[in-house]
Amino acid sequence: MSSAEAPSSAPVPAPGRGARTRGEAELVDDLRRGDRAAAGALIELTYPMIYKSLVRMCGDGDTAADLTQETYARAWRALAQFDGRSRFSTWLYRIAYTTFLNHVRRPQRFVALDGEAGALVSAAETDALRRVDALRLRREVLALPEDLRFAVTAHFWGDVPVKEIARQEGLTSMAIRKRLRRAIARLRAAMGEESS
Amino acid sequence: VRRPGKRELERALRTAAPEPPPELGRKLVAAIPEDLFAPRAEHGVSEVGGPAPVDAGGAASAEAARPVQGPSRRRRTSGPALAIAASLLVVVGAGWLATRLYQEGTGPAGEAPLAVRASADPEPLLETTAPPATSAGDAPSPRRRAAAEVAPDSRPADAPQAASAVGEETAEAAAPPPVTNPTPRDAIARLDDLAEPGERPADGDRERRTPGDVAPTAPAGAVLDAVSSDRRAPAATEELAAASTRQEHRDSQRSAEPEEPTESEALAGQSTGRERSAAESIATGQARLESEVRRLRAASVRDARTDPLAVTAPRRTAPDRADEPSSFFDASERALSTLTVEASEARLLQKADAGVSAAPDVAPLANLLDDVARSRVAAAGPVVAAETVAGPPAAGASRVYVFVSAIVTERGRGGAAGVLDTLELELDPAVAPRYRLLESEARPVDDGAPAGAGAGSRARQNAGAAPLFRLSALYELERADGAGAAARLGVVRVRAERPEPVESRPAQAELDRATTGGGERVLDVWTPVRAWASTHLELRLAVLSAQLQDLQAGGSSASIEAIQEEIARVEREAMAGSSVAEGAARLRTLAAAAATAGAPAEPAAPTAPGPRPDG
Repeated sequence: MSSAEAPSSAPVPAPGRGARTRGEAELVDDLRRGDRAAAGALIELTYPMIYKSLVRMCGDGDTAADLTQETYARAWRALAQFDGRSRFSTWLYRIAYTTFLNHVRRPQRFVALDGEAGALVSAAETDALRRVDALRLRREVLALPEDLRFAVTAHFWGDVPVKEIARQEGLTSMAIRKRLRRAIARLRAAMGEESS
Repeated sequence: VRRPGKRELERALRTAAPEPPPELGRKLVAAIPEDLFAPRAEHGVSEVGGPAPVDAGGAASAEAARPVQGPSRRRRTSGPALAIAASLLVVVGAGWLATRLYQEGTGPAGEAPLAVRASADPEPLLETTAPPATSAGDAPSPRRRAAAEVAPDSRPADAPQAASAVGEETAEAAAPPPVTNPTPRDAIARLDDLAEPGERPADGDRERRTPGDVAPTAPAGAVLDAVSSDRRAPAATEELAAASTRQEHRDSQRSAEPEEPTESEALAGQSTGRERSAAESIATGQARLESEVRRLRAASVRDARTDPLAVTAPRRTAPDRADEPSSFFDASERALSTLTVEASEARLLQKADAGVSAAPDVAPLANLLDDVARSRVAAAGPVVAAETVAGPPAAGASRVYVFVSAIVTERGRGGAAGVLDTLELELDPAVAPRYRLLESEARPVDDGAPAGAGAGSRARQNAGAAPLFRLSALYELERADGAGAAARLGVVRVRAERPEPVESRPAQAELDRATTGGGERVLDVWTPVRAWASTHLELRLAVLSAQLQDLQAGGSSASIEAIQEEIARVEREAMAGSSVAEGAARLRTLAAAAATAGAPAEPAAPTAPGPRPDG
């Protein structure tokens, strides 16, 4: 076997081994050099965060798993467009977020004709979101304007640092913090109104 | 009013999410594409291709190791963009030049202006009455044969032959009609002539059907069964053929009569530019004409579908459904596929006679819809949903599955027996020429649902409101060969004509008003964006269940091996312990039993659960 074939035919390591020994940036560099195993390691490093954020967004474990798979499929297709401006996980989170929005907006999906996207409220609540308050909170978050919604979901649900969100959005950290403050204020008001 | 504090809210937002299932990571790793580093032209990265194309010497080039998005990417995309811009300029310039030449009457071949050429054209353009194309091997129905025999009589060259084909009645049609240059306006006027007075559409509403298109006095699904190409009774066939002949004969008679010059024709020749634009839009008018002819032919089918047929046609009941399962229906002739379910019965129609009673059904697909209903219970009118996916690869690329569902409230609580909720899938024959109904059911919305939004059946009953019911159906369509990837398949309609509630306690009246608005709801259905492999597992399982059921009933939608293979794939992809995994395991057992039996199995004894206690 020539050395030229080695990267593409290298076995992909099973998750759980070796991934945490390398950082995300290092793995991305390896991936760029053609190290196929780095893709598996990146998955292991990032998929819990992607899955959890999607669970929080859609409230359904099965749907979140489907969307996670779709996220990575799209990521591999768009891998060449990753420019290293932000962290790989932040870029991946943006794809997951878009995948979720496509999921709820897709015309072939269940669509309530009555205007409001009723499909935003999913069927099976997970344990974490079983409480009515959590359900309402999720609905209010998803009803935020797009800029605020992305900031809130990325920061609180995706555990993406403010600095990374700013890089991804091409804004300053201060702007993202302002958005978070505005979003929290809106959510407080909305939750207070619903409580009344 | 107590607003949550900021920290309290942030803490709530950070509520721990469940850990991902362990097998998800393995699946993701297994799903890394083999061609991860292959050039992807669609992303414009054919030269760079992302990470590290390695040269023959084995060393990753420094060029490939740099970030992909950068100056080189801009440089890469500038070439094709310039080429496209140059092509556009050439095309626009050529179009402008051709326009000038035609306006001056000095075309490159020395042709006369368009108006003169059109008047010399011996073949009128408005004779397109041929039926829409069907799939290969599909024998023309008697109705289509009749249309094909009558259609040539509008052509002067074939007039004698046409007259002999259709007999004495069309002898006068042999006279050649005056040759005109039909404009779209003429076409529209002609369409109005074609339509019967009661069917003549209003301006601006030409493509819409009226709610009364399907006779509401009888189960429309049964009516359509009576005229289906496979199960049509001889008398019905003859009547349909006669109706078709009469319609075409009226058409030929009208075409034989000298037509008065229209306003467009009177203005013809005054402006070559106007004539040219009219001629250019003939194609649009012709397409519209074809659409209208199809509509009229469908209307003639409905005309021929007289009440006696409807009354004598069997209802779509469980024993009746057993002998209908695998035949495809012609969407162009039937025009509508109607599922009519008496919601108050709340019977599981399909499970009662399917023989696969333990198999999963379409219910899991509508769980989301339940939630939609819960959240939208205060909205007016029924809730409609539809989802479309491509078929499994083994079934061929032309198969499309459409799952439609609607939430309605219970009917007949005030003694209004015989009032039906109707769910319809109305297909465009040009896109989906044939279809069949695979599964259908009516069941109450889960009463265990949280009542936060006011809606499980029990919660609604406690509130004095009628419970909700879900009507669902799974269709298999054959997509036309030429149909685009994003073509519109048709529409889903739900009819909800409801009587006024007998009791009118305030809470009940409010909810009844909210959910029994009546009228109809329409939802467009499009060809799938989702491929079979990326479809969520519940729908794949439902389709496989329907295919196995079809196979057991003697159909041939898929081989047992293909079904088993797909079931195994679904089972592999499903989360362990999930309802999909359990359903796939049950279906695998049933498929194995069917494979062992070899021949089409006898339907098993129905073991379907009855209606829910509150239904």
